[in-house]
Amino acid sequence: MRQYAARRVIIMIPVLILVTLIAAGLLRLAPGDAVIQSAAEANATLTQEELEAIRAELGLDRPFHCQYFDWIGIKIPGCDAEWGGIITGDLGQSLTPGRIEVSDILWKAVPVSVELGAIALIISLLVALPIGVWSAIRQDSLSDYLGRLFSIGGLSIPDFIIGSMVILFGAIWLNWTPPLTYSGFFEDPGQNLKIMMTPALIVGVRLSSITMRMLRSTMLEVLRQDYVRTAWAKGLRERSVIVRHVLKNAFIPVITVVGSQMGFLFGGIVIIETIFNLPGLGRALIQAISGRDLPMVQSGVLIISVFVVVINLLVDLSYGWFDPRIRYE
Amino acid sequence: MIDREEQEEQPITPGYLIVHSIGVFLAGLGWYWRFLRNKPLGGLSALIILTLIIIAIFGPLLIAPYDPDQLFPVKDPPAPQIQAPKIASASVTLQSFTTVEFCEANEGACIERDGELQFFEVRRRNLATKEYCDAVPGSCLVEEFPGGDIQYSVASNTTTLEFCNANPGQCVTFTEEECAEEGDFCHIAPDGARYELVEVKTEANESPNLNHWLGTDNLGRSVLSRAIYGARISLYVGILAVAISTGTGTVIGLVTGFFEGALDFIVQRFIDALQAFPALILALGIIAIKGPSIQNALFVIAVVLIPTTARVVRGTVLSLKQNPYVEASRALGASNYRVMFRHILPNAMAPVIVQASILLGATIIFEASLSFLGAGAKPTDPSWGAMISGNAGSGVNAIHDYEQFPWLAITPAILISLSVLSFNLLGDAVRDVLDPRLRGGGGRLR
Repeated sequence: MRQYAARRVIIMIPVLILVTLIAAGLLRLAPGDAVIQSAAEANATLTQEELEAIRAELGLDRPFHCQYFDWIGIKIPGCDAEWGGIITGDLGQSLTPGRIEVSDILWKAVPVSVELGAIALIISLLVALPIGVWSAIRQDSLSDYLGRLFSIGGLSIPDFIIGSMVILFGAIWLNWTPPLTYSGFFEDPGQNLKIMMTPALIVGVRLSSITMRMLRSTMLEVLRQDYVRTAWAKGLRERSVIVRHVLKNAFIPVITVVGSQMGFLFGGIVIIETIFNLPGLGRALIQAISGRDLPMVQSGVLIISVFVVVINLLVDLSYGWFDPRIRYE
Repeated sequence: MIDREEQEEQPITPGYLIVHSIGVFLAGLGWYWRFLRNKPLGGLSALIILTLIIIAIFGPLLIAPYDPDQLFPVKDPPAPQIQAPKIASASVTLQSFTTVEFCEANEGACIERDGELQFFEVRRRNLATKEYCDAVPGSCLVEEFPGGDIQYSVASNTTTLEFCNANPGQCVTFTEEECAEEGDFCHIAPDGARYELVEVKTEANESPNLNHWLGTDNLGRSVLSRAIYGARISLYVGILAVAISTGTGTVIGLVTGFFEGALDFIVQRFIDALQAFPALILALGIIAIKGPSIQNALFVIAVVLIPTTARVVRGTVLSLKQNPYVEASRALGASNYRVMFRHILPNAMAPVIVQASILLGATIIFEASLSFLGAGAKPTDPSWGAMISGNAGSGVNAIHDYEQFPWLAITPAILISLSVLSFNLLGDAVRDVLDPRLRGGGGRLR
């Protein structure tokens, strides 16, 4: 198993390099560059010489591969790239006029996304696990139908529609609007949770419908296995049969789904972040894309991808714990 | 035996065709009836999808298409410039938010524009100006609101009047002088034009009434007409994106799973990278290159979905390769090509079809999300997602319009949810029919 994990970690490296190359290539191909975008944003008109001067200052006049290797921090012949960069943990500076350190931006944005994702995931599991188990062990009962209705409904209504409706009816009925300013958890925990709760609830409930469907269908399959019949025949209590025999064996696909949801939660809830005005990673990345802010986009995407690959690895390794028959070559 | 040969020789007459098509139709009906009895929800949703497809194909025929001649029957009209609403360039400087007391009193929601501080607040209503800023390309759209002679001017140019076609959202712009020359021309719908087709600005934001069953939006376009055209766009993008990604993904998965080796390793790393890349960010990045449009949204969604299908197919092919029939066909001297496409592919199709039917719903949501963010269909395109983003062109700020104009959001929201629900239920039914044991998510450990 250790060997398997080590091999997977080694395979991660080319994948992560590819991810940063895709990010860099996307911005390279997009029209405009950081200078033009920030000039347009500031409504400034620059002459060609001024443009060139700023480009030179930002190092944008260098060839593309030099910029990339400078960010990575590898010295190659023909470029003025220096050692350092991300291989030493330095994410570089943003290309926006303030030239803020990318790590500073990420330090602000990542905790917001992680907190939102964590609360959403907890809510999703709290909703999905009981309903999923219940509708599997009471198949075709009224509660099963209600649970399935809930889950297929949650799958079918896009989160931006739910978000819009919550804001709309919140404003009409409860006179509630999401606050314009964000306060961090360590500055003002109460206010922070008040801000986070509604978006997390929307994301969580929607995710729970996916988990619930998966849990129900796997549990139905496991419930028909011979060893479950044996467990019943031994006279075990229902609780023991369900938790120890059925649930544990039904968990592998559920863990897979939850793992892929974690990756999605970390980098993908752009829409909910935008609707609810949360300064998370998704929004920071969108801004960086429209500002053609190469170091920021590369670093942000890299962090998300590292998270996703590591989660995938952990999920795969957890299979062995849930089902000891699984061997890692 | 002889009888059958004689039948095949029979010439194809119209009567023969009619009888046979009735036969095929009845057979299809019978098949559908059995499906409906076994899977009532799946059958019902298939019916809903079929209705939507029929509406998408034939619905626009019920509404006359855009026709400049009909729109301008006046002699020697000013040359019609067909153009989308202009979008002013962005000027969002957030530094000045807290500098002025006035802004502070209003929760710091200000923006500096042309040297003046203005509200950037769209959550309150009785303001002189509303400004909607597009999150993605960072461009803004200013709307004078309310009152004034011209109720709506697009893109801060208050000296033009725009006539907008109800259907595909194309607009024709006139300056005030041109309007003055033509007299009443700018205030009434031109003769001969159907009411649904051409509307003057003053009919903007009507609530549902007898003329406009589902109301009109800020450009006076009928919500019903746009919803019908929207069915075309959503289904077109959804079905085609899934078809393209499934086709490409199947070929990739089949080839890599069949040959394994170095090629497989390299392609798999690419697929890993695509999957580790956050999907929406990837989509927005590609849109940043190619610009927002329906075709590009279609392309982006197809690219984002390829890894999913490729993985499913590869996993299936890896296990199918172990079957004795593969060895048997090899022993008979079959080529790689033949084994792959004649023996393995047909057996790998069930999970692919199941996957595709499940992806259809997700695709429609993805397209709507892109349009909602202003990165899919342009605001002028009648896509359901763009309709939800409403008057603003980008959904985030538009939400507060719904308080005033709820009908703008309700129709597309219901249509999106209903079609996604139908695709999901149909997908479930297809899965039960084709492969009761198949569940997503497997195939990662090999």
